[in-house]
Amino acid sequence: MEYLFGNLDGSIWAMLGAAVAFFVAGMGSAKGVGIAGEAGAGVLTEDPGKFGPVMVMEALPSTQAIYGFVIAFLIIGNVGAGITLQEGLFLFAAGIPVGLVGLMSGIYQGRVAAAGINMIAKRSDSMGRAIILALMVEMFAIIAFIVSILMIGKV
Amino acid sequence: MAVVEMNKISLIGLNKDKDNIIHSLMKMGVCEVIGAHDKLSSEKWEGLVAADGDMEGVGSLDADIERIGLVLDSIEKYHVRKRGMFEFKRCVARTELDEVLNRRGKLEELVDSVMIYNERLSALKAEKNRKVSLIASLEPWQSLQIPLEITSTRTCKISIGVIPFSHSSDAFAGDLEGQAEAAHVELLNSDREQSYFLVIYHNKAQEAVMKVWKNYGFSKVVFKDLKGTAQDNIKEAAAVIQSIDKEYGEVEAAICALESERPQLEVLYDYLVLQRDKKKALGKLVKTEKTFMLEGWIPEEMGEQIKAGLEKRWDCLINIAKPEEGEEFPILLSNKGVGSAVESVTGMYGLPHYKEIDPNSIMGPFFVLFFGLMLSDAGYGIVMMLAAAFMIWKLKEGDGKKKFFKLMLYCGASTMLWGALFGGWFGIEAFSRHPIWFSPVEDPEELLRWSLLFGVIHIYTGIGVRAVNLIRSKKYADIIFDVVIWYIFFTGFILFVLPYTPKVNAQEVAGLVEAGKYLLAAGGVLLILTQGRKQKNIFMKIVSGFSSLYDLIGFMSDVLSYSRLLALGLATSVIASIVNEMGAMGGLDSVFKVAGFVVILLVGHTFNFAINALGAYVHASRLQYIEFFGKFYKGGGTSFEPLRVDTKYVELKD
Repeated sequence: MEYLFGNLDGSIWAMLGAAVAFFVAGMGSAKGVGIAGEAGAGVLTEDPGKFGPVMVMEALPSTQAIYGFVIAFLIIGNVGAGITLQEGLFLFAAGIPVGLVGLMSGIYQGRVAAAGINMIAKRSDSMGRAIILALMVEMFAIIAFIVSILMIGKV
Repeated sequence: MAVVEMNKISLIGLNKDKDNIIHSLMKMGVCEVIGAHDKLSSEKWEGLVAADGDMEGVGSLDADIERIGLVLDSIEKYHVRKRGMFEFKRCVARTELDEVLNRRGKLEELVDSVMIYNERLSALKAEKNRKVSLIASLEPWQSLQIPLEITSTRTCKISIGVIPFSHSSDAFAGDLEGQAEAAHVELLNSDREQSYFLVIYHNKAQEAVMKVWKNYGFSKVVFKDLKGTAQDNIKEAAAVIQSIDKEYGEVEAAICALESERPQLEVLYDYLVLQRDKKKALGKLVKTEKTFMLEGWIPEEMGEQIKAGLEKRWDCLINIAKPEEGEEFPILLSNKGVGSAVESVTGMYGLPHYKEIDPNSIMGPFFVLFFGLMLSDAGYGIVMMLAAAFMIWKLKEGDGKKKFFKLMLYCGASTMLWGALFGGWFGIEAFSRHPIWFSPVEDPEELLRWSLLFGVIHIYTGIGVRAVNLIRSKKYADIIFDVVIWYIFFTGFILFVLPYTPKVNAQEVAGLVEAGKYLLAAGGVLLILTQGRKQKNIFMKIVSGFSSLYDLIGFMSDVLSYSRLLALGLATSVIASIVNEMGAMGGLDSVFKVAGFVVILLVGHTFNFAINALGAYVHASRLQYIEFFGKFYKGGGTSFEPLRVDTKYVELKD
């Protein structure tokens, strides 16, 4: 422990922050897109004509990974030679919101998107409503993304 | 600019002109026919008129249309033809239509034959599946030389069967040979799940054999109705599959050969669709012996023109009247410019109620502005504009997709504008260092506060539209209670929290905060006094008054929701610059590296553009639906569906 906090500069912590930001949010998106994709494949076997709307719905939970990616990139951009331990811990903390919230939001958005796809299967005019329902879940990932950005800005 | 006012048209004409009148209404495509059958049961009309129409005829036409549709689909499926990106409806002259109708009998025969072909194809498919699964079940027994139908001799039993892989096959063979005299056990095959055995034993050893079988979970396999060895059967089935494949190909080719008939089938299809629609419309009329009566909705401004046109050509009586008070009419939207382009966005949410203002013209500019802000790359904007302009140029007038590309043209322009302001040109660093306004990547808080400001403007506009709706329904007092007081309350709140918004100097705005306190308090008191006015009970009045204050939370979360403008905008520009960086990572000192660079840029930017344009579109829509429409929009109108020529493949000329 002493070694971790004493002998290293902050860059290792910053890198951990970047890793958390992307890999946790990325897992959320992977799971979410996977859930939506399974539902989509089921619908497409019955009605291949709905490929467009189903694809849009499936893509919705992928944004969490993008937010995580952007944050990871911004953190890595801040890592330089002389970064202090405190700055490193700051950057580590900045990676956490987008990562963890992205995980949950990605999974649950995937579930809502899957339900939305089933809705579209039954009624083709319900695309707008299906998207809105899924975007409600995304809001939290967006707020987490902004929190992460503001935190990076304070370093 | 708004919801088109509809008038009700009533037309009484002679039965002999009926078909022609319906036909000309259909060609004008401006009249939605309403079912007049309620007249049949009303006292005034009862006994005078009878229902018109021929529902059976509609049904049989529907069946024909469906059959021809299936045939066209199967020709489409088996005949691979090159399709242009833009296929327009072919114009068909009267002579060609007559020719098609003359050949109708022949075409119907063709349709029947394709139906038979299709049945044959599915039968062949099923047969093939059966054979394939037979082969799969026989395959493990290939090395068995004894014909499958022989299961015993005079003194012996011959059995084949499997034991689960969890049991050792050596132990099974050993046990069997040890316990039953002169038993012959042969391991024929084994896979991951089970081992396949041939067991021959003397009739006398039956019991001992059974016991061992039970211990090892041996299950006997019997192939009923098969003669000859497994291998022979496999060969036979394979031969059958081959002949099925051949026949399948032949039937497919036969369907393909009908490609030359496709144009005529399409004409017939569309002709029948028109006949059906006409018959359906007839079903909504009422008639007497010599006359008929039609009722429908027409746009107000077309009324006189239609009346004059019809009365000139036929003997008929036309009356055009305004809808009765409270009578709902179907909704047709008419907007210009940006407003018309975003009609599809509103359409996804639901059409306005007939008494409401059409929100499109107001929301259009916001949609375009927000879309651009969320994509915010001038390079992407230019590409988008070029693509949209190309599509608009290529598509024919009246195509529904044209409106969408018009929207994309506006959004592209807005994207370009914002991109230029923020220095986003395909994420190239040299440009992003010198933005016209400021760079959101360097200073996200600046954009955050602008985003929230745009949100406040958008929401205030929404509350303003609520006032317009109240004026339209003549509830003037409610404008004070439901609009003005909320403005006071929210403005007070905004001023009060000013010091907490990013990049605001608390000392400079101290005066505003002071004013905000009073506004907030005054607004709050007024809300408590007024928002319960619809409740009867005094206690409930107070409760709903207080609970209306809770809307402040809603307002706050609505405003914060606009922070997505910053989030999506940043995502685009950061990823664009990452793509550039990745492309240049390997260096550019050889031809291959340059080629790789170009490929990475193309793929990367295409991906970034696609995912973020989709994001910008759905999020810009969401901001309209929830934050904006939530303030005033009721929705729930039914769309105007005029009787019109609605063909799928061709345009029929007279």
